[in-house]
Amino acid sequence: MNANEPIRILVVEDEPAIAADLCFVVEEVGYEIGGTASSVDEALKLIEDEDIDGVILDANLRGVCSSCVADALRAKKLPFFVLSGYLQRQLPEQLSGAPFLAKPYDQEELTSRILALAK
Amino acid sequence: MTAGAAWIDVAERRSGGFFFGDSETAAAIAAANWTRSPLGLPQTWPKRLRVALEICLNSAFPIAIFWGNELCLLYNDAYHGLLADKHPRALGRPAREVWPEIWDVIGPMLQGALTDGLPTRSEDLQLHMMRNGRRDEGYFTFSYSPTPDDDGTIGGVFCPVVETTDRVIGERRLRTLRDLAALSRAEDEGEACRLAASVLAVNGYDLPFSAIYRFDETRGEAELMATTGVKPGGRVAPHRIPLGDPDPIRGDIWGLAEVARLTPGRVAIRTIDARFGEPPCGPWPAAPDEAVLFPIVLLGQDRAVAALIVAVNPFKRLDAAYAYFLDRVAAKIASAMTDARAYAAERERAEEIRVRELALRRTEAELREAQRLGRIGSWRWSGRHDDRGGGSPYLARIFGLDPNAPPPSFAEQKGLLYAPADWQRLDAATRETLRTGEGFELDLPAHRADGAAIHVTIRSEAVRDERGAIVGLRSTVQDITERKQAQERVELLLREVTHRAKNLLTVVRAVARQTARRDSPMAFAQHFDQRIAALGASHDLLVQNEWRGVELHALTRSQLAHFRDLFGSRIRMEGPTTVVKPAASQAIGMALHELATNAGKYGALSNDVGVVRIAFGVTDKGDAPHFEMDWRESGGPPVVAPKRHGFGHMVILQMAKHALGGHVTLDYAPTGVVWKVSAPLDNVIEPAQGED
Repeated sequence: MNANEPIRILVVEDEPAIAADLCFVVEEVGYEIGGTASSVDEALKLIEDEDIDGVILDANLRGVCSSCVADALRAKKLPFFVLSGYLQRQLPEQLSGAPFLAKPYDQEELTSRILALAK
Repeated sequence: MTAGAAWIDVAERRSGGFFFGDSETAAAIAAANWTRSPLGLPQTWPKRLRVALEICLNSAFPIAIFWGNELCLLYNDAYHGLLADKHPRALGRPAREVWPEIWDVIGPMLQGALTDGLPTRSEDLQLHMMRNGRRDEGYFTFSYSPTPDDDGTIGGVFCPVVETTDRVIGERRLRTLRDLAALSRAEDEGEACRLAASVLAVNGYDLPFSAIYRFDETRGEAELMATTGVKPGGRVAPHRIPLGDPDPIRGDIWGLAEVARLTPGRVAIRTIDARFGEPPCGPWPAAPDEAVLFPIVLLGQDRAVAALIVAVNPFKRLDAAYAYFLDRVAAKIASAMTDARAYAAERERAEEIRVRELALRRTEAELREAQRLGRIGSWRWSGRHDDRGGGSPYLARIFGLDPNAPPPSFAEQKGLLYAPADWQRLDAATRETLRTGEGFELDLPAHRADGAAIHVTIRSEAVRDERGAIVGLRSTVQDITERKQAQERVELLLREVTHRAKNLLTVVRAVARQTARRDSPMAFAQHFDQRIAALGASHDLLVQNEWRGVELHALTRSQLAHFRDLFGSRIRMEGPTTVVKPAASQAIGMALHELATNAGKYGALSNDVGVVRIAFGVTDKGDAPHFEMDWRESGGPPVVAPKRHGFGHMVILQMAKHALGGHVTLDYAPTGVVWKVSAPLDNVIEPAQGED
């Protein structure tokens, strides 16, 4: 990763208002939006096609569990954290093992999680 | 008859009279004074009479001769029994003088034989002769044979006779005893008495009347059970007799208190006096004057339970045979009552058993129904792996087993009813119970024989023998599949509700932050309220439709509620009934809210003439059908594109694009704002049925 190039974050979230807020915070901390996705297929496509450094991953996309997105991210060794209204222990293994941010989130916590994606 | 001829000659020679032989009667004839007899002196008797008398006196069979118009009586020694105390007075007397008491019967018969010359024959004819000072019931078989006189006319009647009294009465009594013995078994003591009475009633000669009383010790009374020959409830046989009461009419008229204390074999004798009024006579022309009272003592008891009162035949002496007969009657009644009591006791026992069995069956049925209702089966087994034990019918139902086949042994249940790991848990628990006696309760997933998954609760306890040693297990198996499923549904629902609530909180939070970022505190309060209200309104529609999506006309009306008066005039909606998905409804709803807010502030709805056209529908664009929606303003003040984009812009453009996964444009044309959406149908429209 080149220090001069901005960090690009993929936001995977099907709730528009939340996605917008996430994008806003990503830009606030000085990173760039590498794309937004509201479905599993969109997310998988963007992971494949786009140049991305980290991912914010909602656990449930339009009623579909996003565990296969997590698998793809692990395969590409891309850092991500899981965002969900479910309890962490209620999530399938692929998701419960990753860093977790509970909805509704705290601004500072969100910020530190986003920053952590670049480490 | 040379000897006969001889005695006539010899007699005449010796005494100048006749010699009639050596019998007692012959001596009496010789000694009698015949001068006052209508027969006259024997020397004057016709030769034929003398010949007949010779035959009579030489016979050992009772024979009488009635001679002459007055039917004067001559007889032999064997005949004395018939005469009793009438001998020797009767010798030579007219028959009518000898038997005035039966003359109405025998008179016409004798006269008939004498005048018509026709013999009679009577068998067991009942004649109540006076004998030894009383009229006596007697039966006789005899023949009246006309006997010629010397001149050829009928001179008299020759009568051989045999008394059959003992035979007739004996047979009669025997019949009564036999009928008593042949009585069918009575249901109870009362019926036994009534049945016995029905037999006694037939024999009025020996039992002119009778009554059976049962002693009721607790009430100090005797209760009338049955009577023969007398009306129940009268003076002779009152329905109830107070034992020992001295009242001459209402009291213990029969002295039953004494009878109650008599031991078997003892009797009491009572004179039937004036206190009884006019007692019934039965078949006799006179009322009985005494009665015998027997205690009725049942087999195996020592106290009389009843008394038998029997009036004695007034025409018969209470001799040993009569007393024995009555004693047998009393004994038969006692045995009939004993049988009835035993039968009643047996019936009572049988009834008790029947009632118990019925109760048991009812309990069993209840248990079965309760097991069905509670979906509980029960199982009893030794705890050995190869033991099948005994299961209740519902146990087979739970596991879908053949109820007529023995249940699988515990070892066979492994893999069949329980997965091996679950079976191991059950096995461990049962072994623990067998070892310690402590029961257990286990919730286990199980399988029906058809493979369907079920869930059961198993409760077990140790079964001990009478010495307390553990000999097996008693278990109940409850099918809790439905409860388990309901529980799981509730848990899922709770999880979903929690998830949605948290999501919504996050949305609210995002709206708040985004609104706050650009607005002044005053504007924030207003905008935030409106946005949350708009969110709430689309949420309401979602809930009304049970989360299955929202109809677009309704959604638009709810988001443009401020301008409801303009619908149809300045706000025109075109499009078919369209149900959009929950997520799309939220994005479209928020976009409509922001568009309307902007139109009201700066656009077509900020003056009095501007118009908003909202159109939506489905188009076939290229390969796949697309959802398209337009918001087109006109007639408002000239549009100036804003220098700075706020949250509203983000919602109208980014959020819609994001949520619908399609193409969204916002054009600040001078003539009016135009918002256009085009998105794949699947992202927006709810399928006709079901949920995603």
